[in-house]
Order: sequence, then structure tokens, then C-alpha cells
Amino acid sequence: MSKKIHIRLASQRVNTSVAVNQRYPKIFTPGQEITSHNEFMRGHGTYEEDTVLKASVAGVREQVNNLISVRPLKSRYNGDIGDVVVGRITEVQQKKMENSVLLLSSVNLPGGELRRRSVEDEHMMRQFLQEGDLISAEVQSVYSDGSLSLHTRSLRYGKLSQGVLVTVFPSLIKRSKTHFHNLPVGASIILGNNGLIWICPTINKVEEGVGGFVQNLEEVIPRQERETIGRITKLCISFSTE
Amino acid sequence: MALCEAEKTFVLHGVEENFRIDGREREDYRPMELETDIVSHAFGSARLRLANTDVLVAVKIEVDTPFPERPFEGKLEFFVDCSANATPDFEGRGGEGVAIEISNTLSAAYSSPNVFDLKKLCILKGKKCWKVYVDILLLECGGNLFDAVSLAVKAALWNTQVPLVKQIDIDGNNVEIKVSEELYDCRKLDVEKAPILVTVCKIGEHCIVDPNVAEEQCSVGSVVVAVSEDKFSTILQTGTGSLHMSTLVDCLQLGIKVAQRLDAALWDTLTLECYTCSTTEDESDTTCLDNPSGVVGGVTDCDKKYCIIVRVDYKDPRGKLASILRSCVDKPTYTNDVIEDETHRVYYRSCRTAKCNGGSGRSDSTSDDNGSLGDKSTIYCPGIGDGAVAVTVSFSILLFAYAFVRYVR
Repeated sequence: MSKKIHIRLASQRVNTSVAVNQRYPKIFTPGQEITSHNEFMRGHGTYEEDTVLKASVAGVREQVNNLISVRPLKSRYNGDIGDVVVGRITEVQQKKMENSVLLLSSVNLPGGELRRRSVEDEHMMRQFLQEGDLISAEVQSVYSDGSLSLHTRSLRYGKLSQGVLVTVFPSLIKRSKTHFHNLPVGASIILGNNGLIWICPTINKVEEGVGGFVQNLEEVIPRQERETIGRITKLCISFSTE
Repeated sequence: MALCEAEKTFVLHGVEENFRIDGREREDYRPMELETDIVSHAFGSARLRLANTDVLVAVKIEVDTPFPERPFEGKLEFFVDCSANATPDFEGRGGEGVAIEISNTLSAAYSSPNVFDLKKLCILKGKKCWKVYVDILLLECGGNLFDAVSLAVKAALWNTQVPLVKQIDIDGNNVEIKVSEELYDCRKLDVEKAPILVTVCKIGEHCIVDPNVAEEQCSVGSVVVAVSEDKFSTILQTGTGSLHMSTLVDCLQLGIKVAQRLDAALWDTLTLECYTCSTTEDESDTTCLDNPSGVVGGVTDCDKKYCIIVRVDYKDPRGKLASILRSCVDKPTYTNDVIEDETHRVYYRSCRTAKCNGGSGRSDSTSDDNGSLGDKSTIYCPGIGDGAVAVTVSFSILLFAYAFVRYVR
């Protein structure tokens, strides 16, 4: 039996914030005056106008000795070498993904197959990666214009199979030692530094050897795992919109 | 956004299992939030948020000349604007196709006189009528635009105040209209039968309602039905696939069923149920004071904004009731106050939730609980249907939640 549909009025909105009585740091808006003392140095996210230091981004103030900078609350993802990212293939020509490049030469194929740079090799790639496919990868290097070069050399990385993708602000993902977690509740989660979170059923160690390039689309995820994944998805969303 | 095969499989199996990726069943809606009267310079406005879909509707009214072939009717026009912020696809002229499709569907749905009576917008036969512009702005697209737009349009039209015409001066062919200068001298539009649009999406072998973006990608075809009361006012098929006869009938039946539930939900939200009764010290019947739900006919569907209690107590003997009034108003004199004079103490209480003016009036229990956690047992997660996978705040889950915060941060 279907449930009753409920439309909530905005005036009845529930404040889901966990931090109810916590004090928030002051947030500067672009153009807002930070300080008029001239002994301070201009850092990132600030500019000087008529000897007054002003914020050029919306964010919180950070101070190291005399250097004042404003750290933006939300910003576009700026990659760093070693970051784990989750992304969607947008073009299989130059192996481009969003603004990042996954080079042919930096992909491991199932079974440790040896690869040569050749035209046949490029054609082969289409069998493994297609437009729309989701992959997890590591940032190999950052170009001067900010675009990233990725690699999936380790068997941990590769194509992603069945699961849910959640997008949050990149600034909410903290860089940590490991971004791959097998949660005890029966699901796996990949926290991409670029704000994309991948939630899927627990990854089987045996299957992992192929880097996700062999997928079993017949497999039906049991109801219980679905419920777990659903809950974790909700948690991720509610934490990110808190 | 293109999904990969594995993701599509996941969505497909979820629909088969009657447990969709966000935990909903096939006939469940995502949580909705409605706000009316938010554009102050419009005649009526509403904003509806359906999970990630965000729609703002404003209604503007102008005096116009009726069409010569329909001298008794006013005019109604829909215009959809797609903000490029909604989705990158809307950049440039990208949103035009969607915009035209939505506005044409709405025009078709509202065209029948049984649905929306344009004759009520007539001021003077063949000379003057009201023209109602409904401007729809898509702020964010999270799937299921048609349903969200139709709900927001209905709410905005419900909210619309048409000024009363006080005087019509006719001088030959020159007609001049004077409207009442009083701000509240208005009448409301009759939108009780205004249609609700429901998108029924076919995924695999099953039909679902309220698809999100991922589900829209997996669908082979969908049917948009406009339902007014228990009748279809228009039907539109979208998507690439074709539907079998029996599937189409299934879709239509599901659509009409869901539309009625949706309409009831919208009506519940727009009208505020308040206790309405009063009693004084001279009356022996104290039901209104002690148990307002026991009063026959004591609950009214108000289209006002506040439920109120006005309670008058004597100061001597202290706390003796002089009179109590439960009612609903648009603008309470005092939202929450106690006013005293030499002999009486008057409690003014107001609140904005259904049947919230049932208290004694003395305590502040009727006040708006905007800031606090309303229903303390449930965290409302964005994208969760009512109780679909509602996360109950038990101690263990909280522990898990905090552990998770550490992962995320």
C-alpha cells in the first residue's frame, strides 16, 4: 500500500543541523573589509584597496603571523598529486574525463596484459572504457593550467560497477590516508577528493584483480544491501547539506 | 549526464525490487517543500522544492481586451524560463525545447472550462478582462519537472489575489476601470479543480512516479497525465520508446491515482486546519476550553496563515477565565504576547501548524517551533520519502553517523 504524500511548508522546515549551539567562525563576503592595519601581508583570497585589506572570495579568515588569507568555503576542486578521484568518462578520444586526462599508457588491463602503444591498442580501449563509464583513479600529475593527469595503475582503481554516485562539495572531503573503505555495515565507499562519493556493495577481494573491467551485469544486489546503500547515500547527502 | 550500464542495471533492479536507489517504493514521492507568497511584488507566488528540483512561480495580472471570439473570457498565459544555473544543458538556448514543452502542456491542461473557469476573469463583456501571466522559473533540475511545475503553478494561482473592481466608467468606446485601493480588498481565484501533472515513467516492466535524474535516464518512455479531480485534462507522451496498449492503460491508472493523492496533499498543505470555537464564563459548556477537538464543527480549513488563541483571564480572582477564542487570521494583532490591564490579563497566542491552537492559551506551547527539532524521533534526510528509509535517531545510528562524519571531514 502506498504511503500518503506529504508536502511540507517552508515555515515548518526542520533544522537538521547537528551543531545547534556551536559557534560559527565569521564568514567574509567578497569585498568585505578584513583589516585596515597595514602591517599585514596580502595572502590568497584577499586584495588591497585604498590601503584596506579586503576579501576577494567568500570564506573564513586564516592568519599565519602577518599573512592574512581567506579560505573559500566552496571552491572548484583543485587537484593534487596522489588524490583519489571518482569521475565519469566524457570522451574516449584522448581519454578525457571532465577536465582531466587519463592517458592510454597509464591503464592496467585485466590479467596484467602487456600493452603497446599502437592503433590497435587504442581500439581495444573502447572495449574497456566507454563514454558514461565511472572510474576511480589517482592523480598522477598536475599540469600548469590546473588540469590533471590520472592513472589507474593500482588494482584498487578502475571501472566502477553497480552502486550509487553522490556528489558533494569537494571541500567537504578531507584528504586522508585511505579513501577506500569497507564499512562494517556491509557496503563499500570511495570518497573521491573531487567531491564524488561512490557507494557500492562490499567489493569482493577475489574479483578485485581485474580492476573492474570485467563486470557482471546479471548480478542482482540483494534487498538488504540495497537498504544499506540507500541509508549511507542519505547520510552522505544530509551531512553535505547540513 | 550519461549513466554507465552498471548504474542503469542497479536502478533497473531496484525498480523491480520495489526499492529504488533512494529507498522509495515505486509510487512514492521525494520530500517536497512549498512556500507561498514569497515574491512581494507579484499578485501571487509559490516556490516548490522537490528534492533537488526547484521551481519558482510568480503570477502577474493585467487588464486586457478579451479575444473577439470569446468576449466573456479572460486570458491565461504560461511562460517557462530555464535558468542556466539549473543544469548546464540549459545554457544559451538549450532550455527552450523543455520550456516550450512545459508551457504548452500547461496551457493544454488548463484549457478546459471544467478545469479553470476563464469567465471569472471577465470584467466587462468584450471590452475588458484580466489577463493572468504565470511565469515559471526553473532554478534547479533534479528530475520530474512536470509534477513540480504543476504543483507550484497551482499553489501560486491559489495564492493569487485579484483586485476588486470598484468602478467602471464607460465613455463611448473608452472604458476606464478603477480598482479598489485597499490592499486586502481582493478575491482569490478558484483553483480547486486546477490540474495536477504526474509523470509516469516506465522502467523495465514497471511504472514509477517521480523519477529522479538517474531514473529518467533509464526510462524507455514516460507519460505525463494532467488530472483534474477524477478526469484527465491532457495526456502527453515523452521519451523515445513506444508503449504497449496495456502498459499505457496501467500508466494512466497509476497516474490518476497518484494525482489525486498529490492533489489532496497539496490542498492539505495550502489550507491550515485550526480549531474555531469560543466560550465565555457565562456558558456552562466548557468543551472549547478543555477539549476543543470535542466541539462539533470546531475544526475549520482556513485559508489564513495563523491559528490563534485569545484568552482573557480575570486578575481577581486570579486566573479565572473570562473568555477564550480559537480562530484563524492572516495577521495576528500580537503573535505571542500577554497584555495586562487593571482587571484583565489577555493572552495572545498564534501558530502555523495544523490544529496547533488546542492548548489552554496560558502557556507558550502553541508557539512556532521553527528552530527546534520538530518531530524529535526522525531526521529528515533530503531525498527521503516519508518513512521510506527514515533514519531513526537511535543511539547506535548516531554513533555510526559520527563515525561517518570523521570519514567525510
